[in-house]
Amino acid sequence: MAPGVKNLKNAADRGVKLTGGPLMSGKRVEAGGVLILAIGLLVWPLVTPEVAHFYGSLSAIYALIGLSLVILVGWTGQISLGHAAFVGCGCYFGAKLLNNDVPLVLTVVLIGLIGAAISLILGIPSLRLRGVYFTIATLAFGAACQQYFFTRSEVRGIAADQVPRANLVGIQTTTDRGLYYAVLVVLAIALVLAYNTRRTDVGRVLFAIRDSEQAAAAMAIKIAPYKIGLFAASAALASIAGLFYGMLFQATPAPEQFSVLQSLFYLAMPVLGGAEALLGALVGGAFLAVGQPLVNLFDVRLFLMTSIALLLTLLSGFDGVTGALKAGRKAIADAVRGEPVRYGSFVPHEEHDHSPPRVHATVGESPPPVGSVVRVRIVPGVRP
Amino acid sequence: MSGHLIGTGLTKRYAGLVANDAVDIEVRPGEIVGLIGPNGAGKTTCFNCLTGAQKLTSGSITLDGKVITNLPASERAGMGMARTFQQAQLFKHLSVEENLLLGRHRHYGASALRAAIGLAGGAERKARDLVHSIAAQCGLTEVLVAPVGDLPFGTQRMVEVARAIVLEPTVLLVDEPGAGMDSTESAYFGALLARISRERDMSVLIIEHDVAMILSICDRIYVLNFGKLLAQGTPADIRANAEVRAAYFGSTVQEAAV
Amino acid sequence: MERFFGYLVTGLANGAIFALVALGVVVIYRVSRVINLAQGAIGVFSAFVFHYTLMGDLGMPVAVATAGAILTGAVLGAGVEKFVVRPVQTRGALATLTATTGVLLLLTELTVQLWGPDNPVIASVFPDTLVRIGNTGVTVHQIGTAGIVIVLAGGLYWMLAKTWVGVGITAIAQDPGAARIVGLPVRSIVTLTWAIGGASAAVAGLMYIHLNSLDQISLTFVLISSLVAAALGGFNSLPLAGAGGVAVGLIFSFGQGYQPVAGIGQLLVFIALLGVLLVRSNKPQLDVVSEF
Repeated sequence: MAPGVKNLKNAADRGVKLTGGPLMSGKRVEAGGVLILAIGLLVWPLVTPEVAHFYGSLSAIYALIGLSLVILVGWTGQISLGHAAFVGCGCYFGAKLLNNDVPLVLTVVLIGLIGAAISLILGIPSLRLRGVYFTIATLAFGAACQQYFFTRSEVRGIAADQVPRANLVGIQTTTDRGLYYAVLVVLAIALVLAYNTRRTDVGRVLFAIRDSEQAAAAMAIKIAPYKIGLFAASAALASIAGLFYGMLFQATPAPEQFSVLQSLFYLAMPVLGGAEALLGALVGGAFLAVGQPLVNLFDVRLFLMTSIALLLTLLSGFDGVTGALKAGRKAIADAVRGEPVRYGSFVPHEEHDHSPPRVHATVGESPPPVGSVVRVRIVPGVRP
Repeated sequence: MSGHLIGTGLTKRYAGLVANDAVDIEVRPGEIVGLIGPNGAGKTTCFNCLTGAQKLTSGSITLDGKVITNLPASERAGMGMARTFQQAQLFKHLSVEENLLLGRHRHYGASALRAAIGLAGGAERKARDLVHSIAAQCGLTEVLVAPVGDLPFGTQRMVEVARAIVLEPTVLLVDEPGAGMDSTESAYFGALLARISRERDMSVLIIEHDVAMILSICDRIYVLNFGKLLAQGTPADIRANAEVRAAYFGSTVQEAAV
Repeated sequence: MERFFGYLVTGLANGAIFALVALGVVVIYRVSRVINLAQGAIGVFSAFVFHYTLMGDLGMPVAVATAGAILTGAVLGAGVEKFVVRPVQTRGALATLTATTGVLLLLTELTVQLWGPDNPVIASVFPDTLVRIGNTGVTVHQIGTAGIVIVLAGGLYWMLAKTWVGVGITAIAQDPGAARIVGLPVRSIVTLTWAIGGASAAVAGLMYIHLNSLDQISLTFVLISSLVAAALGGFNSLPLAGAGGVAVGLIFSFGQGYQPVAGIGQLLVFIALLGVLLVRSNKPQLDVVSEF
């Protein structure tokens, strides 16, 4: 048996279940929850007044943007400060396609491709580098779009375009409820694709790159194509969301609606909802969508409250609402089952003292210098 | 037989410092080769150059007759060269099983698109079967679902080696697996490595400070000192070499010989 | 030729401001490995405090209000470090970057919530008289701005190279663990550095508010310009960040001058950044073991 394994075996012998990694835990509970959620999402518009449907559609559209950010932030650890620009591209180019009688299904696909293609312009130079260059590039991209491209009359200019509410295959989108269902279909497809990706090779590869690029390269993983590819997928999703955003308002909003500040606002979705779980996007999207009517009651600015919520969530240490729910579920399960004290996967042999080990001295800083071996002597005994 | 790694005239200079000076090194198919030397002798640099983590100043490297001197690390890994790191580099957000599955990346056999629409079931099952059998071989079956960050140091090292083996490499480079292990653990580790190398027909290049382990499992040994090759030969040659004793072993050799 | 010199002077004056913000970003990055995206926002917020609160509501004399604004910047910088960045720092670079993003949004929105979206037009502390150099005129304010930046950049350099704090910052930048072990008050030095960064951002904000009107759009403008400037220098080099700031200032002023189209400056800066990134990413990445 490998060194150290005996410890774990010992834990297993005593009936302690080892917890799985983040990608494989509590499957049955999750499946049940998702089913209930899906039914709820389908049924609620049938029993609510029409004014709610607008916010439902907006939530679903935000959730698409949220999903695009969840996969980017949660899977690759990169932050984009220019996602609103992709939403804008989707909105403006989508309006042009729809006004030229391109069917909505085809428009969705084309807009996705356009968004992905645009993402390559900044993804290829910046994602081959490590660190925050990507974030800065997205920031500069967002500003260039808002100030230059979107003010061209060929793209948007001063006057708004009408955006027709075309049908998505059989789904009428003339009412807000219809549009909600149309967006929900697209969102569901995107969620399934994302879920499948995450639990197979590509998902693991992305996490591996995030943890250690060096080790990932040693696994024969070519790093840049994955980062660039995922960013393209994220941009495609955001652009598709932009297409529906235009349809919701039936007109192309002014470039200020796709500003850099708007990108910062969108970034609150993966933070508030949680970036570890795909459903965090839905939660985050719903938050932002109902945020406006909520803050109107108090005469404060939506973005201001959002930024405060974002900071408080970060400081709370939970990975958004979904992260807090997960932690709560685990705490309840442990309380019910009378879970023994453990450190990670380890369960102490004797259960007299569960206080975590204390550091009595620091010998150098980890990681230790190359080639060094730190020998530590543990003196057992009881200190009164 | 493959897994034939040859480095010729490997030289790596940092500004003003020569870390490796014209080192010639060869790992023949199926061999276990040791690379030893005092701290700062340039062992890890040599390793990084062979695997592509660092770029050579001059020299050339071939793997099974193909020149790989200028290939990036990921392509070398794709040609069957696997490695572990001096400080275990595991993917801490993933479980042990997922870490091992990553070794399967180059043989996965389902495109990203197929996986996204849910058609990678077969590839996934095949990968898991292989991972489970290698985990069993390395004594890791018990910990497959555990998050990697929770494991004790020795087990983490083993996970890293197992992950490298899942790649089905023809040559495996292991950097100081014994660091932080006690002598029983490292003896166990050495024996396991030797067995896996035999069973899988895999050549191994190993850096190690535990001289007893090196002498017992290696077919041949290279000794580096100040970036230069000081000696090479069978364990018996090395043990007998006076220069090596002076530069490196000191009294350790007697201990090891006991 | 006359226009050329005009654009050159405007570009240099604005560039100097970007450079100052970028220097703050770099110094902070060096000690705490955090890119403070809110740096520009701290400057702008301090300038608004100067204009509305200190000068307006409290009616302070200019010199006192200026000192107050710089102090505001320093307190904001230190506060961001102590109460936002440090608590999340153990969770890694993503958390800190998100945190500074949140601060950026918070400060920007706070200015609008408190003082409305109007653009204050503020008279310069320097007289607006023209000094004629050859065929072209330069305002005293522009000269003053450039002068202040040069003095401040020099001061920052002197502090980093010659003072005890500077040695501490360098030590922490190289190895925070070792710095702690030899007994440096690492936390205090890090907080102090953020305060210095905040103060220099406030100075930049004050000078910017005199040169240009301040609103949300120009805030993004300062922000992007200075971050791009810092990125051009790899976030690590003070001279390169300074040069980057001046370069961005010149790109804006020449672009806008010769091709007066909305947003041309932003477009050119974006293109310039992509160019620099392309050059960098074509360098072999093999030897880059860590860092950016």
